[in-house]
Amino acid sequence: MEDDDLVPLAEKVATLLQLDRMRHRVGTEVDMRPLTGVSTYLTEVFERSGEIPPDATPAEIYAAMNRRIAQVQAQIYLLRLEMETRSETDPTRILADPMVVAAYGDRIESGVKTPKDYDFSSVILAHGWHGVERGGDGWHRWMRPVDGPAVACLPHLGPVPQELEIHGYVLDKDQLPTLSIRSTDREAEIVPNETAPHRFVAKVRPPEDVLSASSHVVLEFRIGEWRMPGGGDSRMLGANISRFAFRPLETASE
Amino acid sequence: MKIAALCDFPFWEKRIGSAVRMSSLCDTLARHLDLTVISSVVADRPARRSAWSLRGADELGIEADMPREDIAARIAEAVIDSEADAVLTPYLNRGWMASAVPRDVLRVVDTHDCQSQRAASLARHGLKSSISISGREEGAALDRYDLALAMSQEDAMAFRQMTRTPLVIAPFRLPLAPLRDRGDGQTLLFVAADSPVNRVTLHFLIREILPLVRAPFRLRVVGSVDVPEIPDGMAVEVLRDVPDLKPIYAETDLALSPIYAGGGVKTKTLEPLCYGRPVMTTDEGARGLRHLIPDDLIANDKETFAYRIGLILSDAARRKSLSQDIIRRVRNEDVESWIPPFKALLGTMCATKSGAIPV
Repeated sequence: MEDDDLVPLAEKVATLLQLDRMRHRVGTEVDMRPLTGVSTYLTEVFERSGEIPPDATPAEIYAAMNRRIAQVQAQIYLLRLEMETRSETDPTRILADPMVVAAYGDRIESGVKTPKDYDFSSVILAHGWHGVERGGDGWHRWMRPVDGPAVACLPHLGPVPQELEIHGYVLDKDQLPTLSIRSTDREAEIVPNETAPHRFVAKVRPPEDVLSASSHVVLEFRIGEWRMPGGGDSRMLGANISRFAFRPLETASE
Repeated sequence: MKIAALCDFPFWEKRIGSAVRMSSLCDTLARHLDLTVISSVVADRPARRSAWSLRGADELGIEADMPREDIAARIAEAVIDSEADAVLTPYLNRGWMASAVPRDVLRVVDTHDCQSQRAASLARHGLKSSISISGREEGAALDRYDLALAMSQEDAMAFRQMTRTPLVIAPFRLPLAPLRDRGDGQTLLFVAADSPVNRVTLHFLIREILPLVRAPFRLRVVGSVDVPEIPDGMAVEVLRDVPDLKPIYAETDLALSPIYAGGGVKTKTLEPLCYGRPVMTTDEGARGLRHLIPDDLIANDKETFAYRIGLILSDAARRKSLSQDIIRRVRNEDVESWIPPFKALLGTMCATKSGAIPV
């Protein structure tokens, strides 16, 4: 292979090794297969459909082999780093290049991809609500008339695409069209329950800039129609909210 | 909403990176909120007109040899007098400054770095952090605040593992001020105050990286950082007291920030970006700034780092293209997107603390 061909290949391998871990653009998972038998692994690689076309020239075969060997080397290199940086007390003795230690020594997950559920028994920062109550729907709160919207601040999953579901109900289904729930400038879609139309689930995908600006999503609840429940309860009630559920959204790369 | 920012150093003089951060943060806050800076040290007033007001130690009756408790009491009086809804303290270790402030005033901390991550990173390279703290201890310290500011998404993710205190990511940024390129195609720049991390970084740069560069270069070292012995034949110019870095950056073809230990957002990476100059750095050096830096300018091993330096120095068109890319990225970033959630969270906390909510 000529130097001119090797340079772009070396650049590509260097980029692979660079592993932009913060953005998880390049996977850092170590592939164990090459290490259990290099020759077997190489054979498998070249048997893959389309890897080397039947009419490939020797130069093309050579290029493909070099590319694959570079990838294998990268994997072995990563595995070595993985093992050598496990000891926090003395990793530098083996690794001569401290830059490499820094790059692979600690990795930060950029998001927590497990769902999260909250009700009002959790510590949810909120105002514009009546006190916390416990009932059939668990811990819940009613919106109360205040100057401005009722607000709830919820810890989200991190800077990963996600959807928030808000479960609740109103006393009278005619209140529902006057209810709005927003995450900054994004309006939640409120879907009434088919069999119990005073109940609803609202769904909103918090904007990316909101997720990356704070650990919390700030929700604003507004309603135009208030109801008094009667039975000696003179409170004016808006919507009752009992559950918030964050779900990660699958991304195209996954 | 009114905020009192507490400080025990004249950050407006911008002598060190953390002072530049505090200055930038206060300027941003003052554009959106009523901000009073309460300083426990006597210092010259800011030369330029600031959007925030300053109450200095002389005005508060704070003297140099006063016990901390007395200083905290004077600070508390000033906070009450300013009718602040919240106090902002720089660093977790300045919590004592707000110790006498009434509990109904919200506590906000600007974390600067994730100290436990920083300590672990330094330990990995045999360096000792000035603040040695475990993740559990840092989490407990953060729990004492109503709200914490993180400088980067990376720091925020680390904090999320250790505290339930709401976090707002207030990025450390400087105004974009692109400079006309006056480089000669050979000038490299390393800017640093003297510190253990900066010393080992410069040592590594001069002894390990630059000898691998296959292009003619001249390194300028600006700042008080201790300079190691220079290898024979290497062109290194050391400039100690530089009042204005702009002409230096204008003559720089490539700034270098080969940091491999520490934490937080590095001023030596941020500053060239804001002047529209390319800066070659690492993942660690790019912490909190990664999206502003073209991929070509990140390398995490010395061979690639040196190879890229040579490549960029020998290609003027590439340098120009990198500069344009950086300017576009910095210009397009919304650096104040954290203000709405910050105000919303503080507003909700204020309403909760005022007892307006029946529980």
